[in-house]
Formats: sequence, structure tokens, C-alpha cells
Amino acid sequence: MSQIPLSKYHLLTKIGQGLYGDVYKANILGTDQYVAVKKIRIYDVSVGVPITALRETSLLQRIQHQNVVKILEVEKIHGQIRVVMEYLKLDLQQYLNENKDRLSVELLKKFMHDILSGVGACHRLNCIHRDIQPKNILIQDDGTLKIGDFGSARVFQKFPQFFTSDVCDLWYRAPELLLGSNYYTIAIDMWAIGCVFAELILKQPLFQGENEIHQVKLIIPNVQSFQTVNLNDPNLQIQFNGIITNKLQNLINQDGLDLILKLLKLDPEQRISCSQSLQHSFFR
Amino acid sequence: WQYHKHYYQEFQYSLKNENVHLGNSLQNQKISQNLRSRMVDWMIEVLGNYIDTTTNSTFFRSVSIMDYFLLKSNTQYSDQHLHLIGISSMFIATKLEDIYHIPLEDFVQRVGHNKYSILKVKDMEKIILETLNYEITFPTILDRLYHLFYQCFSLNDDPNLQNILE
Repeated sequence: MSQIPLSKYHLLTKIGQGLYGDVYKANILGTDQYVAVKKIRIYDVSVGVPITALRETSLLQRIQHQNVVKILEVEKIHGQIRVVMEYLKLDLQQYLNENKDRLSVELLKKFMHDILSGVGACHRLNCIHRDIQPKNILIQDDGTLKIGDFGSARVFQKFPQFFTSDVCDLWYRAPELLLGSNYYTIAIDMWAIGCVFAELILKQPLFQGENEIHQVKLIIPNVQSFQTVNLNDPNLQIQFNGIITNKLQNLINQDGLDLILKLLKLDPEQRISCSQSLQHSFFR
Repeated sequence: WQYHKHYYQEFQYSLKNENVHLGNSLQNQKISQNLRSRMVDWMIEVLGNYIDTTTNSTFFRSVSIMDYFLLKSNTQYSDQHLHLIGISSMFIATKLEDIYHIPLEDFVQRVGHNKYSILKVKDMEKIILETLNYEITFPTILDRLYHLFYQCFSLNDDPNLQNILE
């Protein structure tokens, strides 16, 4: 008699649809502990294990950090691959929608510290996340934030390197990507973190473009031609800093504003890194 | 190219802390050293046909995945298996590293000359991933070379080293 492998997890409800398959809430058999199970759907026979699944699983296996979502194991049931991850019921987007009050400076510090630590852990392992946005930042019951959804993430060797420019949710996309560059660095994650920071303060997304052109115009209002934009033009940065300062100056202290302006540098070469951000006076 | 100063310290961590030793990868296998080196040569040849869509990273990743798998596997493989292991290692590497990966049909037809079916290549892919527990993105020799290069030429002010580069 052949042994059929049985799953250690009992699937309860479908809680989401990932890029490469459905995500279920499940409990570990015989306990009341919950986990999230991603069933990897192999719908394209010519690809084998889907690229997003391959990248997410291989990267999360390496990144062990309290601010990054954990993979518990990779299970194979009847030839189907299931990735078992820790279950977190709330994400930052839901949290912002449900809490109408402004966040205290203390909470802002904690949230930003968690996000920067988590993303910093990815960057240290030569990994760009490429899809930082509130929806992909999960909240644990004790209030700890964890970076999730590594379906767009990838490893890099040297810096910068050619990648596809079609990454990041539009509202969190860095200007160099919007201008069509596929020669970019982890600085694109830093821009997205800057946008999330501003969103935590404003309680709404910072730049809500309807399409790519509109998104560029929100960042650089008097753009003439996309080909001639020079992101390291100091005048452009001064003008942009004015926009940000106007939106935020009454809502955040000077240190916080300074950190946002360093994260939201138009020129990716000048954008601050995670480890530098964590040293910033805002966190003192 | 320039490795940016701001981000330099983030990179060192992985190189220091994630050492995967791939020497003696054949110690548990019945595969000859000679055949392994021919496989590495062949990988250069195969990936060389995709010069527009693959990079050095794909090649170094392919070799690393193959060696790490041979080191970790409890199954003992012999010379006749290496061909398929090599093909599947390249298939995983191209999906991991390239924007436009080499299609599976190409591995079956152009690369493998229909010696192995689509199913065989996919099965070996799964075996490799499971054996390595998906730990396939560790730094390769290429990362270390780039790092060394950066330390010598971009970070270092020593004029003698700068002269070598120019």
C-alpha cells in the first residue's frame, strides 16, 4: 500500500489571491495555531515552478528577520507545492483605512523603524523588494510590522543592473522608473518607503496618479518632455521639496520632514539607504 | 558601472555571512571531475546562445545551483544523470536571474535535442528545489569578484590600483 502524504495543515478559508495562486488561512492540525498557506498553481505548463514563486520562496528562505514575514515550510502534497507562512490578519492599508485618527509621533517612529529594518534586511542580502506599499506591509498582533509579498523581489549582483522597469505599484513608483529606466538600484525601495512614510502622516497616499504620465506630473509639475528630465537638477529638487514641505510641514516635526525629504530625493544616487535612515535624528 | 557609496555597507553583510562552500561538490557522487568540467564548459556554450537575454549572473548561478545540489543530494548520481541536472540547473537560474528567461521548450529541443521530455526537466527542477529547500539565492563567486573589484578600484584611492584599471 502506498503512503499518501497528508498535509499537516487544515485549510479554512481563502483569504487572498496571489500572483501565482490562492492563499488560504489554515490551522496546524491538532492545535489552534493559524498559518497562511499559498498553493502554487502551475497553470503555465511551459514555465515549471512559476518565477514569482521561485523568487519569493528562495528569498524568504534566506531572510530571517523579525520585520520580514516568515516561511515555515514548503510542503508538497500530491505533487502540488504549498508554501506555508506565518499568518497575519491585518495589513497597513487596512489599518490606515480603519483608524481615522492621526498617528502619534511615537507610533510613526516605531512603524518607520520596523519598515526600514525589514527592508534593510532584504537589501543586505542583495535583494530588491520592488513592491513596497502599505498593502504588502503586515501587522502582527503586538503591533510589529513585517514586510511581505516578495513575488516581485529579485537578487542583484552589481549595481546598478538592467532589470524590467515594470515594477512597483504606480503610486509608489520612483521617478527613475516612471521615466522608463530599467537600470536601477535598491533606491527604488527607498522612494516607496518615503511615500509610505508620507502616507502614514497624511492618512492618504501621497501621489495618487491615474496613469504614468499623471504620476510624473504630480512629482514634477512643469515637466516639458520626458526625455529631457534631468533628475539631478538641483532646481527640480528644490521645487519638489517645496511641494512636500507644503503638504506635510504642519503635521510632522522637523526631523521627520528631513527624513522624508532624504528618502524622496529625485536623483536615486542621492537617496538615503535603510541603514543610514535608521541612524537619522528622527529616531532619537 | 558604479556601486553606490550609500549602499556599500548593505552589501558587505551577505558576502560575509552567507558562505556556501561548493568545493568537493562531487564527494558523495559517482560523477567524474572531468565530466563536471565539461558540463561547465557546455553551460557557457548554451548560455552563449542567449547573449541578449542572459548575463554572467545566469551562468554563475547555474553552476552554483548544480554544485550545491550535488553536494546536498542524498541520492547518488552517476555520469549519465549529469546532463539532465545541468539542464534543470540552467532552467532555474535563468528564471531567477533574467528578465526574459530561456523558455522550457528551448531547453528540451534546442539545448537537450529532445533527449529529455518537458516532464523530465520539470521533475528534476522540483527535485533540485526540494533538495536545496529553495536556498538558491546565496552569493555566487561573481558577487565576490564584483565586490573585490569595487574594493580595489572604486573605493580605494591608491593611485597604483587606479592605474591598473585605466
